[in-house]
Amino acid sequence: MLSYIVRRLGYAAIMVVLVSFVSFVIIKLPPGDFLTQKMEQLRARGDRSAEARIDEYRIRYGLDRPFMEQYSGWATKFIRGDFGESFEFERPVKDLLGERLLMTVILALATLIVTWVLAIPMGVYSAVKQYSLGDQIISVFSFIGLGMPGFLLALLILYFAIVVLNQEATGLFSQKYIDAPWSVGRFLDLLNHLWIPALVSAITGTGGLVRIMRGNLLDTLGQPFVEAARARGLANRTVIWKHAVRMAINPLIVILGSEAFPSIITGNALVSIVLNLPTIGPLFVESLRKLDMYMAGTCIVFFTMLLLIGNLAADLLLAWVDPRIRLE
Amino acid sequence: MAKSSAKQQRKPVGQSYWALVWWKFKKNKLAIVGGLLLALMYFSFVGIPEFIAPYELERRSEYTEARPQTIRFIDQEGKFHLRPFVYGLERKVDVAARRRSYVEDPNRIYEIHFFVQGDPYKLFGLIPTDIHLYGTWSEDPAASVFIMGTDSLGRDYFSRIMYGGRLSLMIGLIGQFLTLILGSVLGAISGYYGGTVDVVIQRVTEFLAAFPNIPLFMALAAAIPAFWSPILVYFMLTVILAFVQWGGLARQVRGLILSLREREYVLAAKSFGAEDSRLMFRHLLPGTMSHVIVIATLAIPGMILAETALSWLGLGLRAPLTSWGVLLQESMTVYAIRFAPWLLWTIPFLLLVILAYNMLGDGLRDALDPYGAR
Repeated sequence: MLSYIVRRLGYAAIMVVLVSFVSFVIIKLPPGDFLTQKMEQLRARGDRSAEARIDEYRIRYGLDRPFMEQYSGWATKFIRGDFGESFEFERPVKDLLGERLLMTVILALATLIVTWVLAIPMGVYSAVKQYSLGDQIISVFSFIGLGMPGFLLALLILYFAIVVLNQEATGLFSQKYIDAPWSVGRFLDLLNHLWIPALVSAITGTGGLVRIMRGNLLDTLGQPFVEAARARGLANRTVIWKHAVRMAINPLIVILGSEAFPSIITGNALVSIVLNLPTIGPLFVESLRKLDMYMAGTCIVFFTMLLLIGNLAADLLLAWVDPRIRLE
Repeated sequence: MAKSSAKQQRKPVGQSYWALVWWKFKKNKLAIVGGLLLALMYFSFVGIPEFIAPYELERRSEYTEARPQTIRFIDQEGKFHLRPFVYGLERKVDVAARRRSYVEDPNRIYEIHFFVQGDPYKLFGLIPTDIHLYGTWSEDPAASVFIMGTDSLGRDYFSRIMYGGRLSLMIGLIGQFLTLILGSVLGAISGYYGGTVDVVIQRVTEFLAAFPNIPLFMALAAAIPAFWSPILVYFMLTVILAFVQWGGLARQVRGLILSLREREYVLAAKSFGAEDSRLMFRHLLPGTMSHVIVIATLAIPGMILAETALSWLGLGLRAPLTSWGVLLQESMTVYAIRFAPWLLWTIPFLLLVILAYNMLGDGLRDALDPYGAR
């Protein structure tokens, strides 16, 4: 078991190094870099000393050195916990990400809880009462949720909130509370804004989970061991929740690890951009657009790490929940 | 009576695979509707958008950010017109909000005619003509019909959606076609040869799977140089979409090939001395096709959405090119949603396409496995 974990972690480490290297290469692909973009801006503004200042920056960020040196310099610092400096904000990447980390995690956990708390009972109900009216309503909604991309839904809900409800809907706080200390008013204000991202994820996130839960539970309910449990005279509720659901939930554990866990950091970047949420997602997209190399690289490495750790955690959790699964 | 019984006698007892597929597919009404809807949309958006759109893509009018004109049959005196009409637009300046807006002026009535002359274009890129599906038939140069309003440059939004659909719908199709070729060829090679080739291809697909998907799209799309010509950008974007997606398909094809490789008919072909390429492309790959088609159909909407999202972020297609994602760029600000919500008309079209593909793909999935229980 321990050797399995060590092997997986070693494999993950190699993957992270590869991914970080390739993402550096990709960011380096387009001709020019952040500074050439900046130079154009300075020139357009008529700044005479533009070239001298750009050269200064170039040396400060090490952009004058060859590619491999840039990468290895950043990578060795990364291991020591220094992720480099963002060109655009001229501040350490660590601070920039740190500022947004709390909100990102709160938001991700909130949406995760909303989705799962809704999806599992809905899926179970749908399977137990197959072809009932409730099942059909849930099925229609989950099909809509499956096909609906989050950012388009966010735009539509934003339209509804702004035009119909006439509500200030973007961001997480109203103007008044952005920098205010925590208070009851600020908390209520947060809830007033939080319903939109929560609704978006409830519709788009639950669809797939409900379908999987329903399908698996339907398969499980037809199996002999469920019938045996019923024959022993157990209550219907016990049969469903303790025997059938426990079996049928396994694939959802894999999803929890491979999709839900990595999304804690990324969140849904596109939805966050539409709703102007202060999470890491929009920061990352902006850094890609501006060729802000260390920022984008750091984000990609963290996404990959979370993805790989999530996969490993899912496998371990699965082995723990389902004793039939043996890790080699 | 005799004739029909004779017909029945001639009917073979065993049905071919495709006949069974068609028989099963026909029973799924939702899938038929999806298929017909897609055919209709591809014909109108890709084939003849110039004909359906009343104006040219870049044709600017003096009405900027004008609200959609309502198509009416009953005028303000309550009189019924057999021919639909719209009211003319009148500029109104809202001093308090410091912005211009347009209101309908019920004194000016512009009738909507069908098959009217308008901006010249070439039908299917060949036949020069200037007939449009609908338009206003009036000497007044101010006559116009904007059923979905105009954008900030005064261009008819419905026309732009029609033209934009061409790029958006084609990118899904072309991109998926590239994915299909890349995925099935590499998957087949990987499954058929095994050994080192297999290991290399498998590691690459694992790497693609480990790389977070959306960031990979964005990073690659951000790498397209800004000075490239629009056509090149379009082509590159398609290639990127295909490149990111092929891994999953290749893995599935490999799995299928592994199981097909040991079948008797393949062993027979091999013992007749068939070459590797013949075995792979004539005997093995066709066996995986039904599975591959289903995956591909269900993946096309994802590709269309990926293009939309990238262009909307400013990382994909850029302005002179017009796709649905480019159109959405304008409508994402709070200002636009409040004051020009008709710019969100792109979304219903997009959702319709996605829905139609899902309906068709769902039907295909059931139908292509006609021996299955369901």
